Amino acid sequence: MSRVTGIVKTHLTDRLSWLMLPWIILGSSFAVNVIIGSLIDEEIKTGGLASIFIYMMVIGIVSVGQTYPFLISFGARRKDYFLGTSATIALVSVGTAIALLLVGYVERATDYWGIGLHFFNVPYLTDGSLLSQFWIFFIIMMNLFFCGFAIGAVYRKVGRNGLFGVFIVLGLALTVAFYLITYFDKWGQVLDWVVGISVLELANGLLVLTLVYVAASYGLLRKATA
Amino acid sequence: MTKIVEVSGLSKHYGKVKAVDNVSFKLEEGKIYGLLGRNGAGKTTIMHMLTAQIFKTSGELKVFGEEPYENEKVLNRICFIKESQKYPETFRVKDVLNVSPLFFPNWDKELAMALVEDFRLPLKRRMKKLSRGMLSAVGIVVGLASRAPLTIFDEPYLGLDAVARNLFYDRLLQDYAEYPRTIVLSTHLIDEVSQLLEHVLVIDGGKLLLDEEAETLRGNASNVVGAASKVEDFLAGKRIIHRAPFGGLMSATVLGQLSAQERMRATELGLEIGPVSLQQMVVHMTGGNGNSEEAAQ
Amino acid sequence: MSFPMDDSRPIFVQIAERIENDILEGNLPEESQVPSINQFAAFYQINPATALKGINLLVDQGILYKKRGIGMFVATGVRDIIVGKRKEQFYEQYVVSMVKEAEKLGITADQLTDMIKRGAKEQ
Repeated sequence: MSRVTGIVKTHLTDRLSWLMLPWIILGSSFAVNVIIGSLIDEEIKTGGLASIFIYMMVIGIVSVGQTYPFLISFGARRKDYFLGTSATIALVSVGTAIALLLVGYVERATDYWGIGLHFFNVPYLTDGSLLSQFWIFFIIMMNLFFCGFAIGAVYRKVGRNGLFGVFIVLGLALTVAFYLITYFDKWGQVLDWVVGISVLELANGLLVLTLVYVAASYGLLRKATA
Repeated sequence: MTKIVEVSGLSKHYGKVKAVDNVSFKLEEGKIYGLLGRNGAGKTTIMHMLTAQIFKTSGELKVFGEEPYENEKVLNRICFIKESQKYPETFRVKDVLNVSPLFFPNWDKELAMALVEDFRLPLKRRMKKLSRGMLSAVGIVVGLASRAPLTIFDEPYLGLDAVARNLFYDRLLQDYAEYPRTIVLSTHLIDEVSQLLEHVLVIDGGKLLLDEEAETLRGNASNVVGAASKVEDFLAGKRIIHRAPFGGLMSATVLGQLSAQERMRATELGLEIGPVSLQQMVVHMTGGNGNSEEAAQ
Repeated sequence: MSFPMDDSRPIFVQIAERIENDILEGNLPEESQVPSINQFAAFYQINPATALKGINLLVDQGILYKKRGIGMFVATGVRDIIVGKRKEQFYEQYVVSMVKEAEKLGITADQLTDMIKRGAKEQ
């Protein structure tokens, strides 16, 4: 266990990237929205909250390249690296989700910052109970983190060309899927389905996807060289 | 004596290229080993396999009696200081030193701090902003303070000035005397470290050329200079590792001890016999000039 | 800091020679203690195992002996032993080749002796 904590501590040594930058980025997005919101009279519902989630994906991609070679050459087991990094991601996700909830509460309490800016309360996502809000934030964050982590792992294992290959294959698969949907004239059904997904269903779907990323990352890192 | 490392028929192939070709050797406890050879000879590849950084193609590899891959018991007791160690972007010197004890159970903080002072390392500076010499110094601090039972240094003194290199040798010997462990120094600069080594392994072209006690090697080669034909005649049947023709003269390096009678005969033939340092010996053996040929018939 | 050792000869032999020199020159009197293995290693920047080999060589030759728990000491009467050894080496190294060279140049034994006497005077 202590080895896993060692990995967590190593990641969190970079407080800037893990703990501060997400909020700095979110903060700047928020600031821009505040400025716009104070200039406009109407209520604004913005998607600026997405910035922190996207950043989590970036951190997922970047941290593998930064820490994997270092930690493996310091004698960490790949299994420990995986567990430790996953634990770090989970911890940060929990903490960030709770923090977002708190700020969301403040937003509602201040009547949307007095200028009608819905930044931390996103319709559909934050409509449910406190628990479901926490859960959806947490899952989206975990999903994006691990998506980035998986991308980082792919790069580690098969290099730049391999990564391009994966994207090309994915792109092709998407293109084929789109083509098939168009051919069979199923767009109406697809869009109805998408619109009808409840938050809970979304969370569960993302959870499954996250687990896929997790499995892929571990499988790739097990055989990657430092 | 306990075998710390046992390698048998170890090979690493990258496609057609044999980076390590059927290498076998054993490392014993508590000795300072030199892993010598040219750049790209395969030394680094071997070290990476010993420390589970890369995967072998074939052969057997045991460290502390077990396979090192994903093996905490083994990896816990190794400290591998790579030549081009990558550190996380934002890491400062003090971050590296704070994280180290989490991976090296025998970490001695006082020794680390004393060495930091010796090498005058700026604790708060980012690793990516360090000069090559300071980067090496950090590696040395970690390597020595880890007190790992198997400590491997890969080209540990790149960029270090003479004062710092001497500091390294002094501190290394000092700590090794107090806390004996198995140390492997891998380098292509043999000269300075040669005195520190107890046992020498020479790798060339992926193959193991030499596996000998350092003291057995010292003095086990001679330089013979004189008229070319006389030199060849004198060295018939011996293992010549280097030939350097010069006009009608030739300087040849030969392996093996020369007896008193042979020396007499050399003087009679008008040949000069000179010493060969360990460095020259290794250079000649890995230089590809008259490599291990028998004297021309 | 360090005395560069001659890397073309076994180092343990050179260590033994240096100790012998110290004994000859009076730096290490009989029955005095010799520095420890680790001190030798640190001083000459050599591997302790090599230092040990050199010390053991002298122990085998009876020039040093070990006092349990204390360290290595110079044996009594060894100065003469060393001088004797060195004289024989001197003969092999200098005299034999000198005589051969003299023969080559056609110098007789008497002429050679005169030359030696001249050399001694000019010292």
